[in-house]
Amino acid sequence: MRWAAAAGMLLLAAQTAAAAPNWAALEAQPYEPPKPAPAFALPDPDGKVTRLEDLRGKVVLLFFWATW
Amino acid sequence: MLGFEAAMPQFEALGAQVVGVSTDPGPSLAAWQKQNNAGGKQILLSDFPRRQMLTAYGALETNAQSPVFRYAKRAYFIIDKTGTVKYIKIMDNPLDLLSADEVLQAFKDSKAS
Repeated sequence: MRWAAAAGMLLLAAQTAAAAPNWAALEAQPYEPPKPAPAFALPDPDGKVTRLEDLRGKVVLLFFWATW
Repeated sequence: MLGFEAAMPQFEALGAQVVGVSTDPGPSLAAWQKQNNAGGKQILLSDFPRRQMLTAYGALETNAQSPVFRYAKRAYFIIDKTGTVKYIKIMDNPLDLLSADEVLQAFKDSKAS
């Protein structure tokens, strides 16, 4: 039973690794458990609003780049 | 941010979108874009003044010892095609940055695997 659980976890890990960028190389942490990204709707410098759902179907690198 | 702007065609070719979020107001972001000729490919969003997105993503730091007091963590999130957060990287030092080149390489490595 433990063997089956471990095999399942390895399979899941392999699938996750294949589906996402190699963030291990950047020492990023898997987000456990994975969860839906919080929705957002924010304006760009021209006032155009971008929503998370607008980006569905793409891998999104989201980062907070100003620190104050 | 400038490095990511220059690399956006390569990110797009890999099916990825770069989204930078700042707590600066929109006019400040617009001025920065104009000054650096950095408008266009990457998406820059302003989370000013409510900082609601920072809060939702757990990326707002409150530090009574800091003169700034409350500020954004330098944080990176990878969201997959279904809208699920898969990876997170928070820099210990908010002045540290990931370069566009190393992030791009991480995407390429995953495509090769």
